Amino acid sequence: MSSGFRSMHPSVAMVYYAGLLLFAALLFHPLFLATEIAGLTFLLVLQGQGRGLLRGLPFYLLMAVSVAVLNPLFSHRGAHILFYFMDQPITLEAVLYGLMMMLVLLTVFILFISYNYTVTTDKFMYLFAAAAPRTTLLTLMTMRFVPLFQRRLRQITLIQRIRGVDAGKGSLRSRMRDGMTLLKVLLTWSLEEALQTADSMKARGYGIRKRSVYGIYKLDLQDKAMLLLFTVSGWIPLFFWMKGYGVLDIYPRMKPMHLGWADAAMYASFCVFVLTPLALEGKEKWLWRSSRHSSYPSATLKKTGTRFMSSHLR
Amino acid sequence: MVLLGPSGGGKTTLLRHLKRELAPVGKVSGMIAYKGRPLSDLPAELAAGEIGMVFQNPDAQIVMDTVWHELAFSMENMGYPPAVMRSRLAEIAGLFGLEPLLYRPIHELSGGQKQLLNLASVLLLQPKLLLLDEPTSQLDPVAAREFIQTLHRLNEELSVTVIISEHRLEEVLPLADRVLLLEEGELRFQGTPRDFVRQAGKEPDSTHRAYLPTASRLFLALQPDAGSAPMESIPLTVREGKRWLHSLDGIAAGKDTNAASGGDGSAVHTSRTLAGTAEGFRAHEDPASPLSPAGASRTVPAPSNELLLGCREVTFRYTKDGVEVLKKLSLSLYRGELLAIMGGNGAGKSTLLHVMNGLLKPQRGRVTLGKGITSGFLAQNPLLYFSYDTVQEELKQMAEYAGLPGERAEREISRLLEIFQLENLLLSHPHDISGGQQQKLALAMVMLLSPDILLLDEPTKGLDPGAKERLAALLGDLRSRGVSIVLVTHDVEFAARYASRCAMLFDGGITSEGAPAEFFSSNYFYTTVVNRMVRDLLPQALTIEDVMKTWPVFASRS
Amino acid sequence: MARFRFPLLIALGLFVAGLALTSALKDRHYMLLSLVLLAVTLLPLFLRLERRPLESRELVLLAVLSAVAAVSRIPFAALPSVKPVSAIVILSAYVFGAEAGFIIGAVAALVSNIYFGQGPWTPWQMFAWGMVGLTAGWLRNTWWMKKKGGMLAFGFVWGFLFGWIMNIWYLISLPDAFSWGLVATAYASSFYLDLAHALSNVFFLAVLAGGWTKVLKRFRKKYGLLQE
Repeated sequence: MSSGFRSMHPSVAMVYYAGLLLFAALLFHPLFLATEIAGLTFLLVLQGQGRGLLRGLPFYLLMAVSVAVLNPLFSHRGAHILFYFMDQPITLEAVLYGLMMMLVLLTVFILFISYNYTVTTDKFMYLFAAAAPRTTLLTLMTMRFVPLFQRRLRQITLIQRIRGVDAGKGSLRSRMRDGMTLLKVLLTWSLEEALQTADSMKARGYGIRKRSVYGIYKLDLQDKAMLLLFTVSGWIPLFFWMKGYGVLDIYPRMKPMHLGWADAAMYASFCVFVLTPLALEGKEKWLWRSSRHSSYPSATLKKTGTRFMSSHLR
Repeated sequence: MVLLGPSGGGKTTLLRHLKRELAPVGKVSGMIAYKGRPLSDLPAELAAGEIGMVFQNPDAQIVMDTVWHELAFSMENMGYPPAVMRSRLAEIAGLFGLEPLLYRPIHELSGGQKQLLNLASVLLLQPKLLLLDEPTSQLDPVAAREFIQTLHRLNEELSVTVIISEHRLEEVLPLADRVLLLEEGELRFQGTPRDFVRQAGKEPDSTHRAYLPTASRLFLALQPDAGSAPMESIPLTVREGKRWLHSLDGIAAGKDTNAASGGDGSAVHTSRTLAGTAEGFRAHEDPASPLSPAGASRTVPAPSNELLLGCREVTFRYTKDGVEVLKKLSLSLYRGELLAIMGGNGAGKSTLLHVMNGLLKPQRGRVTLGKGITSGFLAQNPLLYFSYDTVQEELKQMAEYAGLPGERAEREISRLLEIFQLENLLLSHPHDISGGQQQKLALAMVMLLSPDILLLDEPTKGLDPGAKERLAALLGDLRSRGVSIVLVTHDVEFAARYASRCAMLFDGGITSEGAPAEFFSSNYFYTTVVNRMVRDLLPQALTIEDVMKTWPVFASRS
Repeated sequence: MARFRFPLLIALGLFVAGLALTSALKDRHYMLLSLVLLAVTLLPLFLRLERRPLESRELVLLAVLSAVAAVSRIPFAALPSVKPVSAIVILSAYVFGAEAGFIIGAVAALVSNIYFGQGPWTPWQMFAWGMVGLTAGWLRNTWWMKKKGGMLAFGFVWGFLFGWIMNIWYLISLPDAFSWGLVATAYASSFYLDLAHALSNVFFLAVLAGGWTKVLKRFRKKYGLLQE
């Protein structure tokens, strides 16, 4: 079910996530990174994806923390030496830098969790179709084959057990061998059938001229407004970044953080960029909640509810 | 236009020649013209767009991952602008009722839905000519009927020319304007369906009769002068067949009443006569054996009482919180039986076979095999069995797995090769042989395990009438060797003809079972075409043979 | 809009590349630059796919092999770094050549990550598996690759190379700490995982080699596919 930010045109979401990734990679500043993490986390929770976030978190934290630990161990730049570890100086700056890098990594990880939910691969491919039609087609075909092959593999596994090929029994060696036999059966069968797929493609005129792209997505007024907003609010931080703002210099010694008007403007604009989808999602949530309470008589709630929702389906 | 003929008769080759993009490689002579122009001179767009083709296998034709994507695929190929695509898509989705499916991934669709999608996707290019290569052979009867109805509508309402090759002629032939019979690459017949029936009637033992709808076959069987019968009187559908039978009966009843009382042959009289006939029919058969159709013509021993396999209150579901596919199902199987299990789509027929073979373990209930009894399972798709490069290797490995010592393995293999007529294919790749041969090879592999019970999943799917008969003979042969056979099938005619017992699977359990005659005659819809046609007259008759056997009685009494 | 698409894309690409360079030189922040460089290496190979004449049969073949490779990753999800993908990519490249090998590897990585989760590692995996295919295709006519032992050694080496490539995106986040010591630590910490990958490659190749090349070659011959 798509609603809120997820139901917007893929290009909007793509611009948003590309922008966030860009900021994560460029704006080396704890305030910005923390804002990004907070914004994304809140968006995920609003979209009901908190569980997914929690599931991935241990692994991501491990990766991120390892960076924070490794940096001071191997980097000895910086003015303030905290202590010596195995005859190597551990500096305050290196520790801080490691922590910053941890923030960057966490931002990127959380960004991708949100991205996976909002920009599904077919949306991504839709955006790609104009630039690389054949790659897109190939990827989409592969995406169709994967569930088909999984089902076939299950059938094959079941039937080959009759002839003693069973990837679930025996030593690891024989299990792996049997697993490969099953894959080979899948390969042979699927290749044979693929020729029929190719015929059907040809029969429907594949390759006689340049393909056009059909999209179920329509760039509506709200999408355009969002794109505009993203562009404007995205440019401002980039502009200031090029002027040297929004980056915390840690080496050789950390500069004190001070906020001038330029930093404030940059941060405000950045916040607009990061938080707009949140506002959108929140608004929709609120609308639903209020409409459920007021406008529908309880007897017909379910029916009108679903009908209304289906009109929202992209 | 309907193309018919045995598998390997050149139907597919012909259709492919009509579709330029798919013309097979080889030596071509002669010319194919489309709208007066040679096909090879058509511009590519016209050739692809105006001649559409739908193939046999619903899954293999689909290219994209979701329904709307698949529908758009052909239009994208033609480079239509988005606005055109949108309106055409809307139109077709409405026509086919695909709207609720539009955003579904392909793998959630049923076979019938997939085939309709394939048809819709071709129609988006607005073809003038549709070529269909056995499009319903992989579908269940309900889906197949729906598909053919859709085709009929397209033909009637949009005047699309349809050329279809089919084995399922019961529904298609009455709709056809023209019938073409292809055999060994030659055109053996061309004309209207009724012409075709009459032609077949002139040559009493032609194999072409197998292609006729049942009503026509019954007509030919009972009407010795069918070859010269007036065209309109030849029945093609059940309704026509029934009307014709009743007209015959009217004559017979008329005679009867004339002789007896000189009355006017009223309805009361007629029905009395019929009731008498039915009793006579039963009386005729009962003392010999439990009524089994065509039973007398077979040499299969009567089933014994030795229990081979029993299912006791078996309950099965695929996932922990999934639906129960089988619910407290109980079933027994005796030696020498041929048990046909029928049921709708998704009723759990294949699951039942898997459970019976021990491939799946039921959550509750038990499947018990008799002492030392083994079972073999033949899945719908024989390709699942093959993992080697030649037929010989497949069989050898299987014999090895079955634990047959070298010499016995050789003997067993050569015996099976002979039975299944696969001797010439030993060195072929299992994927290179024909579908029927693949099925036989898979069956031979299963037989190497020397099972006492053979479980077959839809063995008649996609077979032409001749192949079905050969399969039946094979099964009869196996039964005479003491093998019990369980088959799940949609093919009512096949079950009625060859099964010794039939069972209906519905809602996870066996709802009714019995000998074919009782089983089917108690059904109203789920019964053979013959039975539907003659049930008022001979309620227990299921096959043409049954009718023919009793008809003389009927006729002589009148 | 459509007319300006390519200039627009190129302009955007150059802009991001510029940003990346600035960031790298000014702040010693290499994350963006690494992504740009990756894109630059992947681009010509995908461009080649877009441009070369390709029959529908060949396209479907690529899709099937990519999908089989992607599917093969799923049952082994529980075992870290045991991925038959590498072996399948190597064999496909061995039969169908470097370009096909690259495409199969890259697409398999992209599509299988739909199930495993896309992340910053996706382009790196696409790159690594693409390179597995590309190199296997380039070397397929050497005498040692034609021998089973050579192919197994090749798979073994790539098991480590793959891990090392995947370590890069991690190392990049530590520009100041970069030293041979760090590299050694990172590579030592992933040693057992890489070894598992390498050994599983050898094993899968040993099991698959004969049968699969036969199957693939049969198809190439039967339908005249992807002959270079």
